[in-house]
Amino acid sequence: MAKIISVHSFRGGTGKSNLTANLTSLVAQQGYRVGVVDTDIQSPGIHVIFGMDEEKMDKALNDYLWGRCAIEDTAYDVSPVLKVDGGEVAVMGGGIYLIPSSIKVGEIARILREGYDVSLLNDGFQDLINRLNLDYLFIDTHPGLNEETLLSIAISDIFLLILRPDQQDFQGTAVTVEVARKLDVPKMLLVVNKALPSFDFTALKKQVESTYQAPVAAILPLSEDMVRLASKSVFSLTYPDHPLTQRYREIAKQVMA
Amino acid sequence: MNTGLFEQLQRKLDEQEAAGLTMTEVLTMAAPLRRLVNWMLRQPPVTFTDVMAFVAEDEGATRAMLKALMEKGIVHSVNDAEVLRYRVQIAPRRGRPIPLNIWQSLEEKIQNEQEYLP
Repeated sequence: MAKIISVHSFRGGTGKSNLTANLTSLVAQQGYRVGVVDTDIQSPGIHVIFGMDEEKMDKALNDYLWGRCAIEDTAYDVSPVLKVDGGEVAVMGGGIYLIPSSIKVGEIARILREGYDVSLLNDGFQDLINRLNLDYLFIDTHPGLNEETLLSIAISDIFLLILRPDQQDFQGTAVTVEVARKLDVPKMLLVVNKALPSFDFTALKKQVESTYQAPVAAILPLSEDMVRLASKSVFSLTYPDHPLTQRYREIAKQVMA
Repeated sequence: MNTGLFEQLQRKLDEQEAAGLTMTEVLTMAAPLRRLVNWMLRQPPVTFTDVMAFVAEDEGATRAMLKALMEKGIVHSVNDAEVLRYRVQIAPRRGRPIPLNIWQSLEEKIQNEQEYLP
């Protein structure tokens, strides 16, 4: 039975897409077939981390939502283009199938202007799982709360909620946790990202868990290497032995548990 | 299942338009109805027996509830291999009333700028 994992944050810039790309890669390296859908139709971006050239992006999620093709036709097997440490091709036991959202202005504009049938997303996720024989499906969401986000949360087996140690994030996360509880999410995990290395991580974890009454999967330190990488590739593949990669592995382990 | 379900459901349905359910509406539903909708969203289309087992009501009450949900467009039925199944009908996401020429102008501007990029 495939698992659906939604990666979400109340505010933008928390590191959702990077977390999603890293977890996707780490899970695929364990021999699983993994799908990742960019439902951030208004501001897509995860395809950049997977090294996808927009010019070669023939079809996108938008095409499926407009009825131009089946959802599996918008899936790109990105595993062969992934590199470890900038050179050797990462050996993927399974595979990664990316469903990007269109980066064309006209396509983004059409979605905003005309709306779309949200139920197609739910059907599309199930079709992807069945037709690509996926073990895991990751959903990279648009920040904040909207119809698509709520649906993604509602149909998830695991809800990964990412936040920074920041007062605005703390408040927004409280709202999102309440919403996730109303939608009966079976498993919710919090991830604190961009924590200053000088922080006491144990105390921070305890504080966050106590505030939201939900487990913290990991505290991720603000990493200069991650900033320097600037979304040019998947961090855990570029730096497989990095302490941050080790933290990503801890989260991946909890996702696969 | 909560015994007040039908009163709560009826009240909610009276206010609802038959155009499918928005996810925002799910958040404001009474807990028993919300649980049912959440459960149905996570399943492939479910049979009448599945629903009856989930809500733990008798056949008549379950049938009346499904009928009310279908009349209001929250649930619709699908025929799957001659078995009648039910699923939640999610309302389409509405577009935003922004004049078309704003987007056209934006796209043209971006295209023009790209022509001048090194």
